[in-house]
Amino acid sequence: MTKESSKTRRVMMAVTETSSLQELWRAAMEQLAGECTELITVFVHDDRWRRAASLPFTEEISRASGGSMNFTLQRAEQVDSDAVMRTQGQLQKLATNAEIHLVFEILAEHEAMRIHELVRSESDLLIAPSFFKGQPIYSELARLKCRILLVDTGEATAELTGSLE
Amino acid sequence: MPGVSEQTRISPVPVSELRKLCMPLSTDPEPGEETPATSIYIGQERAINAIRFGLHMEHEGYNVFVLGPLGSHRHGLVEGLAQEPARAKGAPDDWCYINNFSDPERPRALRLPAGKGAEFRDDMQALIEEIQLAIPAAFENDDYGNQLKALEAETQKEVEGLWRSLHEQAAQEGISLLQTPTGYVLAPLSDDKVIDDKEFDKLPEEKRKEIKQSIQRLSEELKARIETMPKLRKRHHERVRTLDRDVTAHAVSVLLEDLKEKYQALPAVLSYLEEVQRDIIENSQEFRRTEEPSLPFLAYDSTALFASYEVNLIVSNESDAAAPIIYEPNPSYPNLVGKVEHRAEMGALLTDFRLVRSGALLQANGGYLVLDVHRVLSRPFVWEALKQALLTKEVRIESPAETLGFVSTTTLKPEPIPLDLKVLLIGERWLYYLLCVYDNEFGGLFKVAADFDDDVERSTHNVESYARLIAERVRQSELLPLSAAAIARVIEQRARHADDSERLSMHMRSLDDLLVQADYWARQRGADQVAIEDVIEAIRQRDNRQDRMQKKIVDAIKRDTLLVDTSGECVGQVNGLSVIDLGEYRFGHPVRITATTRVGKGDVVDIEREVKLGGPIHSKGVMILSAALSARYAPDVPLSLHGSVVFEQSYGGVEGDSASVAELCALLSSVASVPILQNLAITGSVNQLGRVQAVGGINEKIEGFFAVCKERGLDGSHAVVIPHDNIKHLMLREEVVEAVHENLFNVYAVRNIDEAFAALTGRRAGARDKDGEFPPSTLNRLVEDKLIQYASRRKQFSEGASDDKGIK
Repeated sequence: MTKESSKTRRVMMAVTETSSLQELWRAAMEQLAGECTELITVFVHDDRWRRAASLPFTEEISRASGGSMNFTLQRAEQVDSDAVMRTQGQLQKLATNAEIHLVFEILAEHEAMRIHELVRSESDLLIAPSFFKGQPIYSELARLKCRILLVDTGEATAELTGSLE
Repeated sequence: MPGVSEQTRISPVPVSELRKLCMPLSTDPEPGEETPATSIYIGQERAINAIRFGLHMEHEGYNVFVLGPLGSHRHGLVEGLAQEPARAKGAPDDWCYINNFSDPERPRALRLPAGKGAEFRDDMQALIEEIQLAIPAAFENDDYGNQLKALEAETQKEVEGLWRSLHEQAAQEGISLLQTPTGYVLAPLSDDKVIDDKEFDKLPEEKRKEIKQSIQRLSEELKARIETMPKLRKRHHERVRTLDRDVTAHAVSVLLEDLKEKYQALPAVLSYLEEVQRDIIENSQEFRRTEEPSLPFLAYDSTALFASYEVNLIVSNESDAAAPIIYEPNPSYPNLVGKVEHRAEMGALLTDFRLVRSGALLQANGGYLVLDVHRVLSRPFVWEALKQALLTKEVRIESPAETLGFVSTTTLKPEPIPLDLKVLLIGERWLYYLLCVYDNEFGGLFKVAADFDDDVERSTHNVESYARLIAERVRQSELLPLSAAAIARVIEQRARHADDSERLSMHMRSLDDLLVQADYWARQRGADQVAIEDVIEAIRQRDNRQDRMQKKIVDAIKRDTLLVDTSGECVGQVNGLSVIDLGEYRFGHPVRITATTRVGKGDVVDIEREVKLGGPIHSKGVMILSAALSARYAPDVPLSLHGSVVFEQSYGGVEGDSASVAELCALLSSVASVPILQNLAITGSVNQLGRVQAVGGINEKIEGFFAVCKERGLDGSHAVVIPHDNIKHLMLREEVVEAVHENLFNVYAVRNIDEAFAALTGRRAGARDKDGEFPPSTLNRLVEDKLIQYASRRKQFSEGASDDKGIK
């Protein structure tokens, strides 16, 4: 993670359902440094659930019982919606504790172009998880005029640890 | 007196016999004389010896029942006599209730030597405090933290290994393992992106088949790993638990080491400490529970866990003390047996071994328990519980409802505690005899009866002892000292209380009342010593406070509402005397008794009995006088009399036979048509042979007639005729004695019905001569002639009736 030295006007933070909010939030707070009290968060959700659900043979295997059931589009939307709500709730809690105003935007993968509407000037800063580099959305981010700060959030470990319990 | 002339040759009772005076007495002890504790219980040697016997007898069932009237200070004597054997016995063991770790609903009883119970309780409390610090400290130690982290890392590594291999395998086959909030989804990838149905359909058939097979295989792998997770989790927890146990065991063994050494001579305590150690180790994780509950009231209360190692000391004795002597003034079931208390928690009633409470049985265990039997019998379930404890020789603390099966909720069943004590019941005689008759177990449990005398002989020695008893009571109650004359007056009053001039009442409560009240009147006049006037004033004031009903009756007689003549003469009418007992006060008053006679079949009707106002003893008296009448007169002819006797203006019950002489005299007067003097009153019972017998309440009866005569004016004619055998009971009030002394009133004593009838009529009764005849004009001759006349008339009537029958 690199410390941004130049003055920023708006700070934005891109998150996904698998990214660890802790590291991203810490980076955002460092960058805000009391200069403004508003943080724009952009929840970028890919459509992997919808895609997986479109396949007729996809099943969801229960973590508790090992039993399986069809992974339908309806279930995919529910999982997606749960992920958005969970992430928004976590962010709102962090914002309340930090006494800052939170703006929460949802950006679907196929709406990547909308990211340009959120960026206003070159002095804006976008903080994003480092694994975005391998994602299709990164091609859109690379074309933004603002600065981008990529943060290593260690998603793989988090997912494995979650499996233990 | 008119009527009781020289013809009757009946002399009045001498003034000196009316009230046996006591000479002034000093209470100063002889030089060097010691006053033993029992010396105040004059004349109670039999009871004292019985109590001593019971106290020292070690065999089963030799509990003591102390019989005697209320207020005879038996408690003081019993407790005093028990002191010596209690000292000899020494302090009994202490008893505690401790947690039963294998069955908490059945707390265990733990016995310790006297004085050790409190020590052990304090030691366990200190241990709990140390555990509370030492165990968390052991878990906060870096060593434990490192070991725990190592275990967690090992498990985590294993888990991660399982998932990583699956991820890797899936990645190799172009499959993504996605994680939903509740499970996993396996989806095919293309360029690191999940492919959808359209993309999938574009794939060659072979590829599609291959993807499906991979997903199928990976699903099986995934399920296998999911099944492995609980096993891994369980194994991890077991490892952590083992670690916790090891850490706890080390911390606890250090803490318990000193205690085990201290109590090594007490195997039961050692065994308990072992159990405590095992339980602490077993619950090691509870000692370090830190997680917050979901709701505040679900907060884990660690004090409850520590409380299970507390000691509930229920019987505690000093090691150098005597055996306990316990008097339980309120022997309710819980107070006697003990109880299991409950505490309210979130609307529920909870209990544990710490809430077991001992009763008097356990407090007195190893010593002596003093109980009032009427209180024991009047409180529900107590008598049965007491017997049960004595029979089984153990105390089982449970509620009566539980014993009777009325309670179905779970509660404690504390382990019974062995019982070894001596019970001393104090009660009245009638209770003792009732129990003897109606309770088969009573005799086997209370083999010693200590019978207190109500009174003692008024011998010179006893009078002196009594004076010392008075002085002792005065000293104990911190009253003003009594003058010698005052003591003498008190002793006279005690004879009066005993209803006998030759005996002294041992009813201590009434003695104390008199002494306290005399002290009050002495202080009222500012004296520093109680004088005889104060004693007399105390008696007078007490009577004044209680004589409302007596005054009402005297007033009613004075105003001729209750008809009682105190002058003149009348055939078939006599003044009898009755006593009304109000408990603390009793008084006598005259009552008119009348009799009527005519020819009949030889029966005497007791009107009181006919209307069910007469008690059985009164009815018996009337039957006896009927028999006396038929036996004494005209034995050769059938008794052809119909008589009836009644207490006039008596609207309550009549009991006792003390009016039978009066009733017989009224009948004889009616038969002989000889008037009875109304300035006299008579009391006494009569037997079939005409002997006049003693009756109770003689002083009150005389004083009752005296009070009526005094209201109407004493003129020297008034007198009371009493049984000769009652002379020894006379302890009349001073004013009656003074009136007799001044020839204003008299008391006559008679031995038989002839003397009584003669005294009441002022005529000679007459005795049979050698021919078996009564002298002419004597009372008995008049009676016999009349009865023969009745028999003749009856015979004539019967013959006339037969003739009439024959004609018909």
